[in-house]
Amino acid sequence: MFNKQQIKKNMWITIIVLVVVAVLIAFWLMGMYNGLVKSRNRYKNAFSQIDVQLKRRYDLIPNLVETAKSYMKHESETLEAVIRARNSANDARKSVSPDDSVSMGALAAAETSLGSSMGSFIGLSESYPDLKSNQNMMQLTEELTTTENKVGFSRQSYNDSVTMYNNKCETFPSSIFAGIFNFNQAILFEVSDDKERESVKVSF
Amino acid sequence: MNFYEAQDDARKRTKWLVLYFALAVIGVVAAVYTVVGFAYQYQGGSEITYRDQLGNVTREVTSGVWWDLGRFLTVAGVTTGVILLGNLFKSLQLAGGGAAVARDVGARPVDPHTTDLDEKKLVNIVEEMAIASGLPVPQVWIMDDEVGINAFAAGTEPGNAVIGVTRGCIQRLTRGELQGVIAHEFSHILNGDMKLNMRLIGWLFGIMMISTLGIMLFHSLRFMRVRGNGRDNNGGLIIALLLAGVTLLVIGSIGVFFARMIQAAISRQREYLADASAVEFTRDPSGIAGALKKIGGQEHGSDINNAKAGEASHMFFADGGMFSYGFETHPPLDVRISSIEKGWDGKFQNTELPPVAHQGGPANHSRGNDARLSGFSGGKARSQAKVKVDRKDWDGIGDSSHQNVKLGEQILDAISDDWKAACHDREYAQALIFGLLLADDDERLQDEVSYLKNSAGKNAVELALSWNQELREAHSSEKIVLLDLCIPTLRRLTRPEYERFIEITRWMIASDGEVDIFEFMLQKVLERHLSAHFLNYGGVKTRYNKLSKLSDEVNILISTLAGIGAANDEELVTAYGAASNALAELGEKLSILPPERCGLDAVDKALDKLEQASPMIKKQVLHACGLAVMNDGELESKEAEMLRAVADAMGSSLPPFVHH
Repeated sequence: MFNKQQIKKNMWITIIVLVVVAVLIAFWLMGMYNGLVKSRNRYKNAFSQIDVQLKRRYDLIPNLVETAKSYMKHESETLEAVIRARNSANDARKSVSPDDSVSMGALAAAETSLGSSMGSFIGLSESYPDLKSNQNMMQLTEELTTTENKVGFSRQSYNDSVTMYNNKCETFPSSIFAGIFNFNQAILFEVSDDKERESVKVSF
Repeated sequence: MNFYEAQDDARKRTKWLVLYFALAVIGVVAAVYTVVGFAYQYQGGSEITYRDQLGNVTREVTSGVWWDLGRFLTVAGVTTGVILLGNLFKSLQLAGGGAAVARDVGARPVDPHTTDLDEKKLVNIVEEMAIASGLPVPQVWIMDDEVGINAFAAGTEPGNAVIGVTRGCIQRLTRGELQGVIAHEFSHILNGDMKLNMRLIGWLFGIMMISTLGIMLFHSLRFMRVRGNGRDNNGGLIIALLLAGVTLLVIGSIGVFFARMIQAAISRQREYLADASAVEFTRDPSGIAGALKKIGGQEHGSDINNAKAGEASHMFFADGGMFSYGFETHPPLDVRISSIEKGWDGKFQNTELPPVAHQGGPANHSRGNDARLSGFSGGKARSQAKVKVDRKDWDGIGDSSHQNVKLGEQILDAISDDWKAACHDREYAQALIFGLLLADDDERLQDEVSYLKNSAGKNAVELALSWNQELREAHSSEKIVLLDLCIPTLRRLTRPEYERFIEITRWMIASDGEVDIFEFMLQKVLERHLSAHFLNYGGVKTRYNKLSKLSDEVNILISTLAGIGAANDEELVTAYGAASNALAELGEKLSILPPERCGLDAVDKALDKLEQASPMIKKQVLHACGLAVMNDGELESKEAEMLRAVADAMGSSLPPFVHH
């Protein structure tokens, strides 16, 4: 009798302990899942920031070319190349999704070629002092510079959040969850650019 | 150090702040007590009478006692109370966030939709750095009157933060350098320095209260002296107040000393950190290093002239050249530069004022949506050399019923919107004045153009030439309206820009070795409305209340004016007659002067004296002058210019009276 009671009591304790452990594990799993969702949202948000700036940039470029047209009559090829590159980059932007490596690669490639054709356009425009001192052109150039900088800075923060998210997806144990719930790896947005600046550290 | 560690470090520093603050309070209390103690010692103190049980009377005199615990506690209590009250007052004032500080140091907020290219660039850079640092975009403020290179961040939370920069900062730094400076300020926001700094301002205000009281006492004394002449008992009071003021200042300087020590101790180390973070944000060490080099190479350095900026000096990008008792709030420039840029050659960079105009003449590229660009195709100058005037209009001048609002509107409407917009632009406005001063004959024009090219830049020359073309045929009354429209724009120039502008105009006026009537007028207008603003000289006292004392001067004036428009002696006599009739009270004293006694030099001297006349006399004289020039019913350009010059030199205004 006594023994049976003892066993029953032990059984209860075991059950309670098991339940508690199960609840703890459930909380832990939930936390892990939520962490994945949060960092996924974070990089998506960061990507939409880039998207806003890219759209602004693609809207500015035709205005810039339009202003330059009347001065750079003999450079129509360069101007057309800029517009072509801008259009294909804009198309790539519309169909891009940050977890699809194909479309991200396409956008990165389009951005790179747009960057190089813009580079040669700006280089050519340097030799037209009238154009350089045009008020409208100065405003547009400033807008374009700031938009490009903003793209650059938001790309940094996007890449940071992607790295954080991908680390979660790949490392054990959250990698199991990522597999079950279909958390796809996100793609870094890297544009090869000559003047791409390296991260600099200053120590004191 | 990442920014979490940095924020933590900032919080730890707050503890040090408490310690320093306590030390400062003790210092101030000790100083106050020392003074109070001596005061008691010399004044003799109080006499206390004891009567013991036997009825013997003992007298004890407490004079000469320097130390008294009760007295000390009272002094300590009152002093600490004053300091804490000051602290509370300032903290409440600052609770509104960074905007309160910005307003205090004389900044103005920048509209994010500004059309000014430089301001737009600043706003853009701030937005960029907000993205780079992941902070909300702070409000942007500009300190227009400061020509040194400096900037600050203020606010109690990132949400109410503001970033302020000086005009010198915008003018002299490249985009990259400005980015470095802004990034430095952002790192102050991110690292929690800003919050600490705001608290510091409140505390410093408390410690410096006593010296502030002393200064206030001095200010009140200034007014007392003016009123209290002749009263005997006032003298003693003034001396007592003066003594009290000096004492407060001396005691207060101990507070200021501690305040500077705290500022230096708290903020110096943080500057290195902010420099390092700025490089991390921008990924470009050359930007911030370049800005620091330009501070070192510029004559104005990082000066902040605003008097109230002292209590916020630790918030700025670099030492503002404020009185610091040897406690610099920032590390030395060369140390900062060489920490950022290894292997720096120790050379500072000299910067010049940017040229007057960014863009050149509008001659052939006026396509654009900006009003200024199409300006020169839209303006239509009337090519009459003379305009009709009506004596009735002139006689009524100065009556309030005659301040013809309609006429003012008409005149303004007659000027195309594009011209008006151009006058509101600082570059076009300066070029307009230069253009008006350009000579007509080719040889001198060449000289002037090459001088302008050197001192104002190539673009300014183009602008000036196109204004000159545009206004060549215009009647002077129109030129004068444009000039008036430019004046408020020119007042917005910074001090060095103003100095350059005045130097150029002086040179151009003097270039041909003589001053013509137009140049004379321009000189008078600029002196009255622009130099008065920059050099801060107020009005002149009225010395002459009777016209008869000024008869010689008036005579010179109307003789010259009558001579300007007259084609022959007969016209001269009738014009002079018309004017002298209006001044009948002078009667016999008036007679036409021979030409050698007239002329601009004589007029100039006469006007100096007439400026000191009473307003009624000025009105009378101006009226007579008008009659002298418009006797023939027409107002030539020269006459309009001269009339305006006379009005401005005397310090009276000339309402519109010419109908176009």
